Amino acid sequence: MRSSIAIFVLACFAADGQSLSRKVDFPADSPVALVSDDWGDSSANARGGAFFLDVHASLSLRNVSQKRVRGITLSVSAQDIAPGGKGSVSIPSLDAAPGDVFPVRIDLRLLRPIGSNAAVEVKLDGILFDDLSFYGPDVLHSHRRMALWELEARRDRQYFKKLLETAGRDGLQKGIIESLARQADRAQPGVQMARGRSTNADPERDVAFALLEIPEAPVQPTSGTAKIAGNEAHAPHFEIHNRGDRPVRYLEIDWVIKDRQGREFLAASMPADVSVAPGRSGEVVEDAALRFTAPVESMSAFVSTVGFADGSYWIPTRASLSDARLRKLIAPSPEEQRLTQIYLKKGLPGLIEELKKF
Amino acid sequence: MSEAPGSTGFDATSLSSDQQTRFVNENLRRVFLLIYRIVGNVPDAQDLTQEAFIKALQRQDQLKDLDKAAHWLSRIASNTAIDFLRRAGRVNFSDLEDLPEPVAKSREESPEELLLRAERREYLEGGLGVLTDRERTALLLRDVEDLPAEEVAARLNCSKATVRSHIANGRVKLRRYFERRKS
Amino acid sequence: MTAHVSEIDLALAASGDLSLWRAAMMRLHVAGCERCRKAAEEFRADRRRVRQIASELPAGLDWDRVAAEMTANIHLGLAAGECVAPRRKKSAVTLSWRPAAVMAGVAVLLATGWWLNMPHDATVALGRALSSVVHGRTMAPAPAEEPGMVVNADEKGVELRENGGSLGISEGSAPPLAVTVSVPGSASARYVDGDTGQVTITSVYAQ
Repeated sequence: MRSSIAIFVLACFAADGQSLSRKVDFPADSPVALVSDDWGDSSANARGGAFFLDVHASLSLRNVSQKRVRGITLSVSAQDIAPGGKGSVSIPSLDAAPGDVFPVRIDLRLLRPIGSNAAVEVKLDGILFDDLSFYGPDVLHSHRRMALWELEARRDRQYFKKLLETAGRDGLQKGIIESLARQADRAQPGVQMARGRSTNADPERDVAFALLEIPEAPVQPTSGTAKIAGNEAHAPHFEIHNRGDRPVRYLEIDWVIKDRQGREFLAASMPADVSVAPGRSGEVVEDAALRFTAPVESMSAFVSTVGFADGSYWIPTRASLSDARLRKLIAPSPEEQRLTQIYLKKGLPGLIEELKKF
Repeated sequence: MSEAPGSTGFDATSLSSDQQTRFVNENLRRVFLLIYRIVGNVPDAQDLTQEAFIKALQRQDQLKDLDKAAHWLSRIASNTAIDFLRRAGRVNFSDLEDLPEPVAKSREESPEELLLRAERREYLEGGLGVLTDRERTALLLRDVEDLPAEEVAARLNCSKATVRSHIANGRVKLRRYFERRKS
Repeated sequence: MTAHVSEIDLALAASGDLSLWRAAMMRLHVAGCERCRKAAEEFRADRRRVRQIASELPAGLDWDRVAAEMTANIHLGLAAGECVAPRRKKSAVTLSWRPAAVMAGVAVLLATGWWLNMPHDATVALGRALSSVVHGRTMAPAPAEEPGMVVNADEKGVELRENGGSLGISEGSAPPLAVTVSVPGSASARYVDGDTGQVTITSVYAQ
């Protein structure tokens, strides 16, 4: 026993702080090229039978295409077999003209079994261009995600530009400060999501979701239930109705919980690939459990995104977001957060200058 | 309150917290009511009142004389309310969630007195309600704030002749409203 | 002025807005015309009614509470104006960009809570948000350990855990702006660069 412990300890000391082998792998025809990379404090630390790879990297990439780049997603992978080996980094709201260099920051901890080198590989999952065209293998479904972020970005930039146009600097400032208030007011509960059946031993009950309607949403949930036991909800099941005139292939249902103090939080998002013709109904079912920090009093849900068969999407308009309850639940877009940060850093003149670029 | 030699009023460049509080307390109700009568609802009036005071107190360097402070504050308040009405006509900030009105505290009045007072208020408020925003604003600035017509014109960003037209039309409409109610 | 005074002139005369000449002619006429004298008095009475109603509070308004709320928000707004005012040195202590930005953002939040037209109980939430951010407290304790694979998200970041052990984790140099859990089995944390405003979204995957 004593000799085994000694070997184990020696192995840990030998493996701790090991330098990390890394590889940035872009295809030959990639629209972006690596200019430089700095892996700083990245390291590998052995724990039991695995390496914990602490990846802290700053990459500089150049847009070598002929189009403006609006978004990029990189996959960062230690291994593809066991959970914990894969992560990703996305930069929405980019504005990289041909020839521009832009930074990408990676901060992730990943897992890799001992028995191989402590290595991490960075690959290109997707690039979104200004004309919404896409390049990349899209293994992580980054095309859809970045397209939605870009649509939100355009919506929100248009909103703030219109504020400036109609209400002047004061109106724009008021709008940005409202956004800051909105961002700070979104409390985040502790949420755990597990696949499969719950192991909670508390008696469970079927609870119906209260359905929030966004008036112009082309798809509306018509019913929703989940099983609740204590502070855990699982097996959500929704029936949805396509009230638009185009076939729907994708949607996201946002799951809202209310605790016993009456506070509401956006707990999780349920993306679903569906096939629902105009005027028809469909089902969305998930075999997953959500655990919260406090007992759940009630739940609500709403459709936050719809993808059509023709490749276009619907997202809530700014008019919908003027509803106070939805505004508290739906996170501001990355672009809105970027613009508010510019305001905090550079003030109103800086923000106005930024808006003029688009 | 610190005073520079030979000056009246307070040192506007460095109001203490107490001075700010006093300034707010002395003017809050008047400003709130002015804005409320212009915009027509309590929640917006609250927001705009706060906005007006913050604007005013952030420009303390413009405050030269305490005697003129109330007038200057009114100007900021009415401008804030008027700008709000302008914006409300172009940008839709529809709020789908109704906010409850604060509940009144009970007073020592008989039910009949309460009913009469409510009826009289409703009767008078109904009169203001028949006016357009500009007519109502012009009347409030002229009759309640006692501003000369030239200043009302400046605040409404129109000519003196237009202001006189708003005032005249507003008063005629009110007169007809009261006559109809009486009959 | 031999005909009766027009309604428009009577209306303007009530506040002295008639021209000098027309006002003088009107006074002459009114002195000898009972009908116009009464009409002029009605317009003056209407002016008094407007002043009266304008001085009354709206029906059902709890003025003490509303006044207290507005006064508090005004003071907060002034304080926040100090926070976000550009190019004003507050102290010699250099804060890292994120806490300064957050405190400014949240201070502005408190001040501008009224701009969101929020009901009173929402201001309680504002106070909580400010308190938790400024004092570095988390809003809620982490859930108890769950056997099996779980994706964990809270205001510190996102994490993949299995049987209580941490697997993948997203860890920026500062707390994330937002975290989201996606039911198929991933979680994302959003960070922003305080200098450039660039947003980075880092995700961990359970499968």
